[in-house]
Amino acid sequence: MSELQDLFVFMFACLSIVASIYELYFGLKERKAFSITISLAYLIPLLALSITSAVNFRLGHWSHYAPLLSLGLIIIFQASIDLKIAKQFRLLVFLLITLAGFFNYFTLFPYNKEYKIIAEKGEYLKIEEGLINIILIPTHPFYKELALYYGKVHKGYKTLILDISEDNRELGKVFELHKEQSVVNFLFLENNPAEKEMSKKVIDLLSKHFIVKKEEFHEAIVDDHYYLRPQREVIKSVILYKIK
Amino acid sequence: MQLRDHKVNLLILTILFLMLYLPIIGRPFTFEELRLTSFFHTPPIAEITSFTPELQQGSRLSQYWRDYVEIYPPGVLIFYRAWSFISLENETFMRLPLFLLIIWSLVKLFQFMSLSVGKSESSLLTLLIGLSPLWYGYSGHLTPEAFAFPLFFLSIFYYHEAIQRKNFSSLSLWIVNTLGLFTLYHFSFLVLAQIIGSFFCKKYDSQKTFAGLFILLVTTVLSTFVLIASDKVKNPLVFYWPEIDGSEVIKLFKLMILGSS
Repeated sequence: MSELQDLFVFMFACLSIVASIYELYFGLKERKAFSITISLAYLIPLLALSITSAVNFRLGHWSHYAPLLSLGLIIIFQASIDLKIAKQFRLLVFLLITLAGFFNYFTLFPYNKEYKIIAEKGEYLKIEEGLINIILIPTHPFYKELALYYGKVHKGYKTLILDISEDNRELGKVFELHKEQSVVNFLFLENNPAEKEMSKKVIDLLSKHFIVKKEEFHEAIVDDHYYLRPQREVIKSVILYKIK
Repeated sequence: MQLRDHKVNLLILTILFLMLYLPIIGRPFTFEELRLTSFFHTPPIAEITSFTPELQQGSRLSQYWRDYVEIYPPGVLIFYRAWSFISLENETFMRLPLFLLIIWSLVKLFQFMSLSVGKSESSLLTLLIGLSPLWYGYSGHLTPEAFAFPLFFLSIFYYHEAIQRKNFSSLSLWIVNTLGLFTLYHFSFLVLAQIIGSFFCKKYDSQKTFAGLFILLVTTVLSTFVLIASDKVKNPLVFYWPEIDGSEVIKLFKLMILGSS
């Protein structure tokens, strides 16, 4: 399927480039400003991208050009009008273009699940005097930013974000908690093996100064997409009080 | 019969498009989207700076400058910072302006095609194009590229209307072009093509004003763009740009057609 899609993409690229060259020719011949404009609007960025790549002087990342080159669809349409191509053929071309991308729908949002887990944890934060929330996230700076946002730090929730990393380098922060905090609300996924292991270590470390007072279980649906089979996860909230 | 056909097609398009778009509009923010909200925390915490020091150096203000002036014009940042005071932390509401802009682009696409092929075929073509991942894939995230995408289509359609009317005084065209230039530096390629195209429209109303104004704007935007891409400005993000080989153009087409590269 992937090779077929690649082949189709290549065919679309060729078709749109040929169509834009034809539109330039047609526009100059017939003095049609619109044809000249759409043709140049397509060819100029494409040439800029190709030439600046060749001389290693880049005008932006390739994805910056994507909105501009979507004009290829309009150019194919306009060229088919100017060439008086049969309606059925035009519809067939656009049907194929749509189908090629349409099959990709469910793979377009690969990070949704991780984002949803982080956002869901933010639902069960608590705010009270002397309380700190702890949430675990995968090791990645982007996830950390997300966790800080959904950890509602900007709303005054005291939240400690801990990375789930193999070297456990963030665990040291747990040692200091008893100095300022009297309550800890620790949020993690009960059925995620990596988090389960990490949470066990955190609770072991906390147990020197804190005692588990309450455990809450929250069901969270953290599917990749609304239409896909929902995946239910259990977010566990363990509330620990400082031993006096 | 003709009228009923195009109404049925447009109804199918509306239903399918909403089925594709609405399930993703409320998903949690991505990292890039968070940076647009007014709640983005400050200052950055030390743990983050250890991961990507070249991206996180300096104050938050200098990071904004680096991300949104040296990589993108600051239009999207300013708009969404302001909008996030209204939308607060509701993801769907935050993404609503982009969604409406995309819907408006599809409406204009239908109108544009209707002029050449009639309403019936035009509605069918809009249905086919509207289901392409261009509209709900990469353009579903709040990024300058996503915002520039519908603006780009709108600009083409308003430009087409200006040529049809032999009048370049269309306020919509001017607004869309200005917004586009404040959203993505690469938008200047389109406006440049429009300026060149306008020279073939002699004796059209406001042709000289249109060309004059946008020559000025495009020159400013392109100069800034070339300057930030040159070695004269130490922009750490630009270091990522040279890691690209000749296959990148095909990646671009993949993004367009398949929605991902």
